[in-house]
Amino acid sequence: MTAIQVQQLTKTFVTREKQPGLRGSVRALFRPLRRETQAVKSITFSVEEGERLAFIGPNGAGKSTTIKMLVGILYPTSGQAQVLGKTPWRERSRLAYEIGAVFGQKSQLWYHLPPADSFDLLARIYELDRAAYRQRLAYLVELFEVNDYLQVPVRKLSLGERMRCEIAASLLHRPRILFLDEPTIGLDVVVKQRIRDLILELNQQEGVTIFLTSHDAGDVEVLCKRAMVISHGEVIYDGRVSTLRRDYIRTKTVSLKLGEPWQGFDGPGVRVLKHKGYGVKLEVDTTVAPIEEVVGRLLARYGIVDINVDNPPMEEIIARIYEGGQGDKETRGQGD
Amino acid sequence: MARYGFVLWTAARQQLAYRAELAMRAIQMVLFMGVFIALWTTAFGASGQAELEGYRLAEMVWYLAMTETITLSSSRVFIEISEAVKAGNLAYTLTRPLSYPFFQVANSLGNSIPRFALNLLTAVAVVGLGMGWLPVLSPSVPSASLRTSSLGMNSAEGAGSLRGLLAFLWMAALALLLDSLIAVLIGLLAFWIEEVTPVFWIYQKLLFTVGGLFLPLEMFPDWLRRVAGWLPFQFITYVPARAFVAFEPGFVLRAMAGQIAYVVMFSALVVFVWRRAQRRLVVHGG
Repeated sequence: MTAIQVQQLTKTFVTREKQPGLRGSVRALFRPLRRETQAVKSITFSVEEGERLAFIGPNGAGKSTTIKMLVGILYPTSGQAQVLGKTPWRERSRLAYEIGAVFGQKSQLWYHLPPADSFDLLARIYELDRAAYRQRLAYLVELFEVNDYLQVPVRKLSLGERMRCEIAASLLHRPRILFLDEPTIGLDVVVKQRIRDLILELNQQEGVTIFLTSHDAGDVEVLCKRAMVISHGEVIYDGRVSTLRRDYIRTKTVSLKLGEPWQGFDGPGVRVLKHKGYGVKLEVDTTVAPIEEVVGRLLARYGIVDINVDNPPMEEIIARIYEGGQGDKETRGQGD
Repeated sequence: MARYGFVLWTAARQQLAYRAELAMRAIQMVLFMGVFIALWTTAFGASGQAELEGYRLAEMVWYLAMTETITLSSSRVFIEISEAVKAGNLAYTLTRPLSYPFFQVANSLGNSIPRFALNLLTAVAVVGLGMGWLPVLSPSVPSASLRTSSLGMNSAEGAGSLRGLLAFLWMAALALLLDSLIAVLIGLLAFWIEEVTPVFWIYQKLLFTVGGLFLPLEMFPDWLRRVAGWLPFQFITYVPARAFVAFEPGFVLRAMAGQIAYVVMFSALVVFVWRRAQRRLVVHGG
């Protein structure tokens, strides 16, 4: 079944501009300069139930505008959308029972109360049956391993502990679609991985459709099969994450602290970004030189004290999609 | 409705977690009441009269204690709303099957009620020590001294009668509801104007004056009193406090009808403004 169906969804908004100075202020008062901005330009896509979709793009690309329309907070300028068979902005309240949302930068838990109180409130808001709620809560508490924090005021929890509670909170009412906006922002690597595992497990056990936005290429690679890249309000890529990785996330950045001072390293697919004393930063094209191979050779030659492997930032990936020219072709296909 | 009731309950419990803030509020109340007692004792002494516009000294101080109890319990939820509007993160609460503005009304009331209870207890303790205990609290003290003023009708009972207290509690609840609705409206104005705090100041000053916060409406010139009588502000401060110092069934019924009418009107206004606001949502953090 189709979970989300979007056709030529467009959102234009008008901003008022003020010219500098007192004169500009007075002018803005009587004859404001209006400027139209197209936040989302006629995007079309659909998501099947149970899919794990990454919706990515730089800041201001139109991601959150699109999500706000999909959850029914925003009215579009034109176009249509069906989420679980409902038009979100007309049936926001009814749709709310079937979707869940986690915004990494905004807590839904009451700050001075323990998470258990927030869970209770949510159970009331979603009008959950008491027995069913207790059962559901027990399941989520076990899955997310939050039993120890259930009675601790949220302000005393670490970000990782809080995030697990946030996600559990958004799942109490068994949503069929889960919108995740930067769910791992600010978390350390280990906790990030843990959150990703939990989301994956949930998707596999309950078939929850995952709609993820993230700046972390790691989130996208681990969590999602399909990625949609949006830039300037247009979809510039819609396809498999593996293809995206093959074509655009070819490189990884490897930062090393070596056992001996850096003296250079030759090999195809390896570029030295910078080096100083024992430290070096390399860009490795993984399609040419597998990371393990490069690291193995470095280990043999220098010895390795510390190592960090990073994905290229999302902005870089998007720049590459543009460079590849594939962006234009894809967009035309989407707009038709 | 039950859902909003539980929002209120949760907000009230969260409010109780701010222990230091509550303590500061109690201290503030003690100071205010101390000032009022000193000020009006001097004013009455200087005037040489036993009552001013029907209020004896004790009634005046009790009246002010009650108006302050209500206004100092106001939740300031407009700050939270306007900040959420400006930051563009209203989205969260909006993915719930709840009306955002009425969620905030419940949240606001939930914040107000524990403060109200604390303010009331503090005010009663301080004014009781300074001006004599309420007849409700200590029936052995003759309340005649409070009861013989010319305020209100013959049927009026003196300050702090049990019926006056019960009427006050009901009317204060309606007053705080009205205040919460107005605070939510002010918060929602953030969709159109960048800074809503000045609007709150205007509201606050209207409570100070035509709301009768510092002076009972009886002390106003007739024309101003008539104007104030039609405005919503007196229903938040003057009306409950007046019922407390001089209980009179006719007055209480008329006043509560007025409060309910304004609650209905402002609820409708909140719905209307929220509908308009939703269409502007994208401008802020789209």
